[in-house]
Amino acid sequence: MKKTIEDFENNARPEWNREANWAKIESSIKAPGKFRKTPWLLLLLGLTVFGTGYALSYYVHQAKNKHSVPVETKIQPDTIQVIAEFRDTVEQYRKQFIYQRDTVFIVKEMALNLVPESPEKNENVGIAELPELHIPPNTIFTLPDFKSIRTGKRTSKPYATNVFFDDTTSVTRTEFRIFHRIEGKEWDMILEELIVLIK
Amino acid sequence: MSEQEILILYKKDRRKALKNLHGLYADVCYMVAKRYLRNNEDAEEIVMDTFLIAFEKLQEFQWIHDGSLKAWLKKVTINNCLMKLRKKRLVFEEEISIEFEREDELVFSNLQYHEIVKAVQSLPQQYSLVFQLHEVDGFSHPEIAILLGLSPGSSKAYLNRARTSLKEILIPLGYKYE
Repeated sequence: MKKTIEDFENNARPEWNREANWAKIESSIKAPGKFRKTPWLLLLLGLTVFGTGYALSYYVHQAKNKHSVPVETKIQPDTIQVIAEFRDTVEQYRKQFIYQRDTVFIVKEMALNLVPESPEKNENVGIAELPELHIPPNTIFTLPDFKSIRTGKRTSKPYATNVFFDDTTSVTRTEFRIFHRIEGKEWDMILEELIVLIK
Repeated sequence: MSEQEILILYKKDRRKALKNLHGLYADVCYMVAKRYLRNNEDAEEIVMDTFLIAFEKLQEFQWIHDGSLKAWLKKVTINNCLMKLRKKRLVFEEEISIEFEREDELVFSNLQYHEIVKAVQSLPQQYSLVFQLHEVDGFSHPEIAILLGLSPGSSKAYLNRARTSLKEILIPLGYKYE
């Protein structure tokens, strides 16, 4: 049976359109680039998709950052919200900021200790009563121009940097008031140091 | 042009080599494909696929002796046929046959090609496939098991039933089982 089949198939001249079959095969292989083009086209397509996706994600990220701007706009530039983990001396601030570079973490309860002469510090007045201004975790916003506090003029970019709030942070209005009050020479000095270090 | 000459030509001009190869073996591949698929159009498509694979893979082929290129092409053809049948969702069930016949060759006197093929193709496709793979194209049961996703035992069971069925078809027609 096997031999009969093999012998027949090996010598058969079946009626079928062999030429047309070859023509189809030939058209598939004719363009030598055909098989090589495909990976390049796929790569190009991939890069286009990736590029578009990247650009989109970049703009979405930018847009999200813009959405965090209201936080910034609510806080007046004069109300400096830079508060550090260290509270006692200017030197400690400096060390902190050297270590932290341009990232500033706010710890709200320490804010009160920054200003010993503040009545709120001793009396602890109003903190519980005042509504908290919640800043979403990892909000990024641009610091106001510190220099402007001292000179009274606003220059936009030179001292701008990003502040990252850690997720435990919420800033009370009380704190803002305190900082608003301490605008003065001494605080300016601190800011000046910070400006240099944060830049 | 011999197989060896085609392989030498392939290194210089792949298209020309393939044309010669097609001229030499397209008919055989077509016959094999038609035997498995029972359909002219499908068989033509399989021949195309087979030679396109040859165009790409021939450089990896290790020539041993005259006829080995034909055997390789037939294997590629059969594989393509099985792939095509798999797409048609041909289902195999695991069969356990207790009694196996001796697997010596099934020989009927005076039986012609077309009569054999007709009888084989009249079997259920699962039986027909296993029979062709084993009895005609020389695949072992473990090989068939891999190709069809069966256990070797089931492959033997299908073959056993195919042989029994073929006898039942052919003997009443007057063919003598030798």
